[in-house]
Amino acid sequence: MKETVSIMVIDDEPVVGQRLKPMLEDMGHQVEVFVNPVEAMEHFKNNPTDIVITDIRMDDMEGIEILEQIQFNHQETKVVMITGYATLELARESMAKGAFDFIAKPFKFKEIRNTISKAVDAIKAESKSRVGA
Amino acid sequence: MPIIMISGAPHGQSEALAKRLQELTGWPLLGRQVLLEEARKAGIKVGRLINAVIRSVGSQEKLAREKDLYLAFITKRLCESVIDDNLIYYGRFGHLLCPGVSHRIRVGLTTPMHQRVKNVMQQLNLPQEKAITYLEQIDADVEKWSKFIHRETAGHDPRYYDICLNLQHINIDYAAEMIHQMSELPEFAATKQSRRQLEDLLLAARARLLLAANDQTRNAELGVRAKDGVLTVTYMPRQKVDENTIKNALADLEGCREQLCTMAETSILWIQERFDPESESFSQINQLAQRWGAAVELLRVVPSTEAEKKPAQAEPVQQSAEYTGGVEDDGPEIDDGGLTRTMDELIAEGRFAGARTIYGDKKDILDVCQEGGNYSLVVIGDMFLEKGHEARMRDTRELAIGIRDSIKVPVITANEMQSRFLFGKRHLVRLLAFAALVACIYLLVFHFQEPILSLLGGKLHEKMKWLSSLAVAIFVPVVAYCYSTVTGLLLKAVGID
Repeated sequence: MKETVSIMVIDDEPVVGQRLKPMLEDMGHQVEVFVNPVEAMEHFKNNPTDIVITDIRMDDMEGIEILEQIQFNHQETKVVMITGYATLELARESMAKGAFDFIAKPFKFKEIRNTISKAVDAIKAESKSRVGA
Repeated sequence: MPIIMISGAPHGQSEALAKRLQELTGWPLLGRQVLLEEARKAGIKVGRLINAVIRSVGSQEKLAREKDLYLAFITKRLCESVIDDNLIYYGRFGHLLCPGVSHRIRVGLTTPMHQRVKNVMQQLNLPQEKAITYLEQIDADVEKWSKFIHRETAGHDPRYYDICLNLQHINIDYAAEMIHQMSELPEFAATKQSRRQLEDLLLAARARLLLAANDQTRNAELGVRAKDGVLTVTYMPRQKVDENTIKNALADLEGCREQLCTMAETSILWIQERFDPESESFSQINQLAQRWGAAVELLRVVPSTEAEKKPAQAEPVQQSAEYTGGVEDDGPEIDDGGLTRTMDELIAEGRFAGARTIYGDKKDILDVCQEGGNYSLVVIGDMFLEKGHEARMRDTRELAIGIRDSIKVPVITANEMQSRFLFGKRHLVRLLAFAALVACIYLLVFHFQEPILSLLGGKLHEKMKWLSSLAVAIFVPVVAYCYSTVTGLLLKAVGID
């Protein structure tokens, strides 16, 4: 069972990664930050992570597309969607397409910390059930 | 000519209907999505409101101000669009916007579920099962948004609309034609009065946004309303604003005939160790405040030893000027005893007069009460919680006496609220019982007039003068008591204290 998980943060605003990385590392996780979603997905193909935190509205690739790609190839990866252009529809669309959670910006550190803790618990539970099976 | 406000469920046909109407009328079109984007660009933290609805977070944050600003912004934007022009607006709660403007046509649009499912399947590329689940969730979210932002659950209530259209058997073209014809009715023509109402809504919304943009008034709890071009801003006692600060903040306000700044005078002070906006006490105090037109000031008392004592202070306000990309610092993690949530509810009700936390004992509470504003009532809620029942009762009683002597206003405990000021089931039973008793007395008196008159001044009186004196001495106060109880309860029932 994992205590430390790998997390990929994808947001075209560098400040988001700069702020999230130290906070997530303080939680004991391995964090990679990408500002280019296409590069991030290239990297993800060979180095999938346990959790992906992705912005939704980005120039080169939409967050929903990232979610769909990850869901298609790596269903075990938990995807957390973040966006400054949140609507109720976008939140529910993300969840319907398999996102683990959706957080509208602006949000506080504790909100993402709680979500990551829940995702880690879910990963641990899934890992335990696989071992049990 | 009128303003058309189309309200419909997500992924329905509201936009299609609005566009068809635009083709028929040539009037400008405005959608909810555009307003949302503009509000976001204007710096309103719409994301926080959305998080509060979909994730049920934010209960510890002050969202009432954010809600207020959001509503002020969309009201301003809508009013500016329609002040000299027609408009077709489509969204979810168009019927709740611009209240009181009589030249609105509020259209409630129902799109059949199978059509909505089909739309979702096409628009979001979801399979049918997921599309149905998605719509069920989004409908629930919309209902929550309605309660949260507009404090209304009027989504399906036909009383809120001028026309309700169900697209099950009519198509968009017919629906658009019907609304078009309706828009030509004289009943929906703009009148001087409805334009005035629109201008007042715009004035109040502009003022609210100017006050929010000003550093000195940003964090103040202010009541803003406009009537016939006269803007009234009400500020609560204890706030760091005054008439001059408010007038400076509103210096650039256009369209204002006169500005009035008033300090709310009547307020209820509610003292308690822990607050809960879902408690019965909150509901009762809110009811009373509503009836009196009073504002409620909260005083949270944290019992502490001398060493832990901290000075009385206003609640801290968190602010960050640095750009964070939407990832904000947590701020201090404090257990505020439900104060923020209660403040939020009171702000939303427009009845918030201030809040503070004091660390100390009875003496500190008395000091704060003496500094305070013009209270018309002090309510002592759950206090001295660490102590046993008897000691708690005694200390609460002593505190009540101390406050009453010190500031000379009525002081009651939260438990006495219902019996003293509010009309409940027990009062109803009492009212009915005493009303029946009074009726019986009058019936008996009028039925037995002869013997009564004989007792008071006739033959019986001649024989036993002492008996008539005794009867009057007993009977009159009993009747007076019964009658006054009935009238007192009746007045309480209609809200007159």
